[in-house]
Amino acid sequence: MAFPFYAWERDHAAPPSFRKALRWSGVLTLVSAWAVLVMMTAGMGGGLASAADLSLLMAAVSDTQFGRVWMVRILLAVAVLALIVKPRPARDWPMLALSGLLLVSVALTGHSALPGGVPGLLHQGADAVHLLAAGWWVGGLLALALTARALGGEAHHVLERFSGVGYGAVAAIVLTGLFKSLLLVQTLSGVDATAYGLTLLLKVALAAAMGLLALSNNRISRRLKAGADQALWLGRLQHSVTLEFALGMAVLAVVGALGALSPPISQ
Amino acid sequence: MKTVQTLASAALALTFALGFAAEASAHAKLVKSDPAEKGQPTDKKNLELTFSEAISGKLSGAELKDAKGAKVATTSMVDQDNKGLMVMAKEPLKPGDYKLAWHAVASDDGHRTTGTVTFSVK
Repeated sequence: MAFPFYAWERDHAAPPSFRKALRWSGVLTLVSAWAVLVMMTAGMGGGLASAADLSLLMAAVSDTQFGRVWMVRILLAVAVLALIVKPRPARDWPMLALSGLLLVSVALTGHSALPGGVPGLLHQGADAVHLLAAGWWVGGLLALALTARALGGEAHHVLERFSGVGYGAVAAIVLTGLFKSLLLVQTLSGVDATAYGLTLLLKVALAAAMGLLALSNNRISRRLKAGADQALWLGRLQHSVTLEFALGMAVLAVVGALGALSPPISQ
Repeated sequence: MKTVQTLASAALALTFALGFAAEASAHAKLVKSDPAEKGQPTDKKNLELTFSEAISGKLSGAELKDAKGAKVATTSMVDQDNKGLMVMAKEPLKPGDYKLAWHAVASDDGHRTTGTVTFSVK
């Protein structure tokens, strides 16, 4: 959602593929949020069968912090879908705010409040920044992947703006990620000794691979700026950015697995 | 580069300054019980389970069975700032062996823990 604000000129209209991606993201967000609530409720009830129990669902939403936050997220996702139905401007403040809230609210669930007290609050703050920066980066990649070929002569401008913002996002991700790891895993021996540590290593490896691809994008940008064959280099850019985005999705899948594991600090 | 280095050092320093206080996890562990495992209850009608963190009254509970495996009628409620689960039998327990199977759902993240307490009434 942030991409149109910094990467495109003010009057640049979002291409149909961009709007379509937004609609699909909205639907996926709502469906997956609902699925998470149902599965977590089943966990609270002690088995899959309990997921069908409506009173259990209502108890989960009213009597646990997770349930309360998650219900708000589901309502936010509904609001997003309600907005997307109508045509929207490319620079969409309300949608940006809603998406931001959806991302940040995840920091209120899971292991983010460990170890409790003031460090726990700082952890949640770092988590919120981590989520927003990651969303900023991966979201930008999707926007680039969808619109790269059509960029034409504008391409290196858009790329320069993206990479400028990208450096900041990556720095924020790395710093907050380091802080979280120190808090949750605590010692280097915890990294390869536990399932959590190994999964975390996988996440870092995938993110590092994304970083390497980002560097190659810079190289492509320089070629385009120097006036090289547009069709060829825009095609390469598209491939590179699409691969980087796919890696970003893989990182998200691994993060999902991390959420289901127990970090060493809570053992 | 210098700014990044300064920020990184500050982040590390802050982390170490705060320490890695291994405080409460998000899993409610049984801290003590009355009756204790293999012990006897101090009250023949009210049993008390105490946990390491706040649990949800609506989602936590316990089931009491006698030596023959028959269910004993009970109700449960939370107390002690939501860290305790009181299990109340409808009638005072008759002498014999019992098994209390409990499940607790942490009120922050909804994680569920379970366990049993075996005890006897003389």
